[in-house]
Amino acid sequence: MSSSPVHEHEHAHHFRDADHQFETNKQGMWLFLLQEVLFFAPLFVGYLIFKFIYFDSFHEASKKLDWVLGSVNTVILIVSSFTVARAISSAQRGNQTGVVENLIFTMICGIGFMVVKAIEYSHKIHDGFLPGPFFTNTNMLEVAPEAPLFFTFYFCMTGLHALHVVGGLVVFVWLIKRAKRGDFGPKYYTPLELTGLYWHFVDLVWIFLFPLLYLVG
Amino acid sequence: MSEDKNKHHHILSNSTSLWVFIFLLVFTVITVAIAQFDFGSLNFPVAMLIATAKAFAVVLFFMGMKYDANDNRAIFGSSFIFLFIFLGFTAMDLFSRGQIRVVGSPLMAVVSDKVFDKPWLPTEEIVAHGKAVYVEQACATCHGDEGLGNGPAGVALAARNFHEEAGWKNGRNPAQVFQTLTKGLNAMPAYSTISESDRWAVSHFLLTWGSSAPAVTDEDLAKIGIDPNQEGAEEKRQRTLPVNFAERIYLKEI
Repeated sequence: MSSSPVHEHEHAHHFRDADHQFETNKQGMWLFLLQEVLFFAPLFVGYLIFKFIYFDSFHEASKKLDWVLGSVNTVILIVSSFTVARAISSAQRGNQTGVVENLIFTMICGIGFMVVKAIEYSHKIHDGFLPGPFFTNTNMLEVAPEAPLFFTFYFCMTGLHALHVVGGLVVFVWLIKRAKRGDFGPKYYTPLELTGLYWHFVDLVWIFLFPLLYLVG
Repeated sequence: MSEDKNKHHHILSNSTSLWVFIFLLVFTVITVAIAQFDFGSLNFPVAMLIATAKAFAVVLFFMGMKYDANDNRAIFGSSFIFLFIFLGFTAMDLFSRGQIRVVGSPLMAVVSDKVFDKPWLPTEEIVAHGKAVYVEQACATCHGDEGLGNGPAGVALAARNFHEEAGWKNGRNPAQVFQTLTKGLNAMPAYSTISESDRWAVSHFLLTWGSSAPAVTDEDLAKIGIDPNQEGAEEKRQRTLPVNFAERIYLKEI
């Protein structure tokens, strides 16, 4: 792959042309995102069920989440969604440095998100808010007996989401490397487009996670 | 590949992406600001409405759904249809359960740690405790909140209406009701797992619904194997922990 000089003129033999290949790849990504929605769905539905059954406990437990850090992460992801969209439009216009710059900025946002997440997790662990049987904060149990269940959902939902962010970061390293080599331009930017879709989806999940866990929990 | 084949690839203009970006930021600020106030049951739908608006902006513009092919719209849209089927049917079940879901966690109210001296005497205190046990053990699931035998599961099981005086198979004496609770009767399961005092308490409580029940005599007690004058009987009752009560204590300790 690294030795192929002109990606824009290539397409696999089972496609009519490069455009056909692009559209097919993109549809594959949409299909992947369809299963991603269903992959997250049980956590959201499960959370909503228990939120209504143990309303008071979940309410008390959610107050322990730091909405400021949550808001910071929301903004970080929105900015990164914006820059990844800019990276794609830069490629479409043939602006090579624009692609690289926007990708690097997106990646910095992703790392920033993970740093904030790490700070949040360490606070929760320090306060004994680990899920299920590892929950050690007895003061919290008196006010909210079902708090361990809330934190099970908190760690599962934000953890699965954070794994997606990490996965995206790995892909961005590869994309930046290729963008620096000048692989992407108006005629070929499939990896950018697909990663963009994926990254926006990660933002989409957070758009719902943030109010559900931090704001109205 | 010729240049014109590429022409339907939509390029998101700088101004559009900037507007979407600003829209997302503004609505993030709004949803955070609203969350600082308590609007009761309104907070949740408002927050979800804002999140949905933000999601639409991301999907339509950043993900380019607005400019995408119909088959891709159908693919991604269908995932949300399935999500709502899942959510809808689960919610339907959850909200049609009535009484059962308010029973709460077994870790919550511990009402079973009361021990009464001579629990066969229907004092005000034990009747009040019986009411708590009636709620905690979810007796109303079959017997109904008012003891009319009309709880959600009561019709199918022909649950006893406590207001009716006829047809008490074991009799309407508290000692006999206690015995039914201990051993069970037809569809009525045995409640030997709750403490002896709790069984007495709930017996006294449910008998307050009909005409006043006869007092428990020593013979009644003898029939069910209780010697009211036995030395240390009180202590023995205190030392016996019902299984589910022990379980609860155990769960609380770990």
